[in-house]
Amino acid sequence: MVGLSGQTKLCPLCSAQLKKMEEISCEECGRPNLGAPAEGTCHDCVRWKKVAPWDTKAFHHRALYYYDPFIQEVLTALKYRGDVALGELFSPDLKSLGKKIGSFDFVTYIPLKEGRHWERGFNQAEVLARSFAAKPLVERVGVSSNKQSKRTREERILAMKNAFVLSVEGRKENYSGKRILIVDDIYTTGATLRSAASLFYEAGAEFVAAVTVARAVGSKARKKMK
Amino acid sequence: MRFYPIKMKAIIHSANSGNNQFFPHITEKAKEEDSWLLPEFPPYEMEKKLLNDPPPLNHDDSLLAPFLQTTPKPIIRLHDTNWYFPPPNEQFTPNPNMETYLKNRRLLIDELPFSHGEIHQHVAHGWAAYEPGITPRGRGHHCNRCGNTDPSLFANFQCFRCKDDCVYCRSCLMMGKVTGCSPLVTWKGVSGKIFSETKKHVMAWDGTLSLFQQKASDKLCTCISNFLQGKNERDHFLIWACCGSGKTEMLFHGIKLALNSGVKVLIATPRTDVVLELEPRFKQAFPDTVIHAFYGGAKERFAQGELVISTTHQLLRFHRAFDLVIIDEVDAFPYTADKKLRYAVSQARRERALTVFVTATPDDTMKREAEKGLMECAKVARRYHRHPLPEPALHWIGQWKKGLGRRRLPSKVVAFVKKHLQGNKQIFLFVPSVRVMEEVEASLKKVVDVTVGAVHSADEERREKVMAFRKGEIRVLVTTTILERGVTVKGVQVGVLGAEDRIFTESALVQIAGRAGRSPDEPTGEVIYFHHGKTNEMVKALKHIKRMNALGEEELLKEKRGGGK
Repeated sequence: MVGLSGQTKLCPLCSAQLKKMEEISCEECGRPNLGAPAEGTCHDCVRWKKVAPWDTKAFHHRALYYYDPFIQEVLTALKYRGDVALGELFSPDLKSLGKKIGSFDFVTYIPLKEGRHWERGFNQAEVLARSFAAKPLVERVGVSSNKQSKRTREERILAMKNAFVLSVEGRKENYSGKRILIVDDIYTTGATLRSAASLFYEAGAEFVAAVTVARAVGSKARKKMK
Repeated sequence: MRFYPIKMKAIIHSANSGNNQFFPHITEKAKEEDSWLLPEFPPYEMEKKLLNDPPPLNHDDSLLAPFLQTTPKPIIRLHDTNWYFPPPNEQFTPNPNMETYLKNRRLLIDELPFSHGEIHQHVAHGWAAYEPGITPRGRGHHCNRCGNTDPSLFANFQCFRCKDDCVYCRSCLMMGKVTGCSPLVTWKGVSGKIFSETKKHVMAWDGTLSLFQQKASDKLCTCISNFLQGKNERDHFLIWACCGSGKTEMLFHGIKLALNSGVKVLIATPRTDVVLELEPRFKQAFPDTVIHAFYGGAKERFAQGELVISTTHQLLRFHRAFDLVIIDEVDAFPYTADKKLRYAVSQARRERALTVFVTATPDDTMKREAEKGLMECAKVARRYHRHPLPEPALHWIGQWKKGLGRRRLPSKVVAFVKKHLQGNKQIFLFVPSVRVMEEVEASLKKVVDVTVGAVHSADEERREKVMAFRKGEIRVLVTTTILERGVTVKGVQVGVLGAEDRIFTESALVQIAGRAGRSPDEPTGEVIYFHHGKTNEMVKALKHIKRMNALGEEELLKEKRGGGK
């Protein structure tokens, strides 16, 4: 790295604790490679390919770090304790990560429901997307009030079905043939991001990708990491 | 959150404001140019129809219409507003639950489990009030909860509540977020005391005080009774008691006196360990008193007590609550933490209150004030068992860091450890940093064949390791300064490796030396500061201990002579 691109606001001890996502085994969702041979497309993504629009459309996701207790602590401080300044640690890196995927016509982030948004006072995905010229293109609908982090995969997918619509601002844009990038904090099953991405595909987008700070790895993989 | 300002003039002249629960119940004493602030209620309260009873509020419509031609521009900073507060409405019955939460406290609106509608209703009836969470000070900010003014501990963000660029305090974030637009809520209601003032508090403790303790205890009692009668000249009192003199017992009589006069008593300390240790002792000593301990992770965070034991952080929730404030181990943390504790105490004490500091190592300012008589002071120079404090020896060990890099400990340190292990003693070895601790642990394991433990502040097994050391399962414990106080192990020998490090201040070194010889069965012990260059702090620590011992000697002599008469 040259010059300012290599700077970090973290002390060396904390930087050393962040586990960078270096090798991936799934080209689609960016599942990390933890010793298993590269599969091209992972089991999870194969399952997704059986439902529309994923039978015809591509999905692409990359994360900065593995989701481990350390990053969990950092993200908890950001999200639940509200230490918004921590977003600065990741936002510039997310921008570089987005650039690696390609160039995009629109950048947006996963929204919060109004009540939750008021409770927190901010949207962590919006904070993380600050380095981009991100726009609030998506809006959350539906009645579910539970946090996504408390659900199983099936529950998540069900809950996320039709959870988003294009916002007033989002409906003004024309997406046909365009490339869109979505920013969020954590990737677990991909249900949230895929649900938001499918909106843009319905509106005629050519390619939708996502970047997150951390990607959860399965319990088996976690054991291997140790 | 946003507030809509309405000039009192409009409210005073409006006929229908008296019927609305969100407007001041009485406007007689209001000035026309003052404002009344109507908060914007959060969307989920509107959604859940929590505001149905009292009537729903929507700022765009009819409610504001009588007062204004157009919708007012919301204001988002409370501090630059002259706000009218009505006096408490005797006709209104406040929610007793809210009183338990708020009485003598100042809490973030998010900490309260009541709807904003209900809280505002109490404000309109004069039973509660809003205060700004953060106010500007000079070019920066001041957090009104924790007193933080450090610019690097404030950050800005785009706030969804006030729809503006907002500031928040990072210093007390652990206690919930104070932002530029979030109000702190206090209780204004006067009637209905939670505790009876004539209750008789019983002291179950019947131990005896040593000569030294007795003198300090008597002096404290005199000071407290003067304070209670309003005759005290000073509102600060220092108990300068050497390590192991039995500080807690000295406080019992004074606290009993205060409790029986119906005043509220606080014992504050920077350390959770100390709170946990004190709680059972006080509960045992005062079985009929309502005692609550507040520390991070405590179950009941908002209970009301007659005697409160609290850490610095938890203290930040109290406001004008205590008449007698006792601060234990005031110097246990570096300056900044100390400043925080002082701010917390200044907010938690009543305007007229007595503050008692209890410490073995007062800082220079406090010592000076005590000597000049600006602060009343009682010195306790001897331990409960009357033996003098072990005086530390200074041993030069040269460039110990170099050797340690090659996993070699200075021969003097090895000799010290081996000598005491042969004598079947346990050893406390203090080091300046976690890294040195790890290196020393590894190096020690190569030269001795007993269990060597190492513990630092972030160690998850800290409690277990200290327990194992107490039981004697660990023979040598290498530690950073976190164990400099509070841990008492019989017959322990004490070494400080790298005593020249900045972290070893006079107070830290005195406290560390105070670990040795605490038990009446083994009142002596060796204390050695291994160093690479004598520092002023080491010399000061040595002087401190010698002076204490001399003072103790003098007082014992006086007693003998007095006894002979």
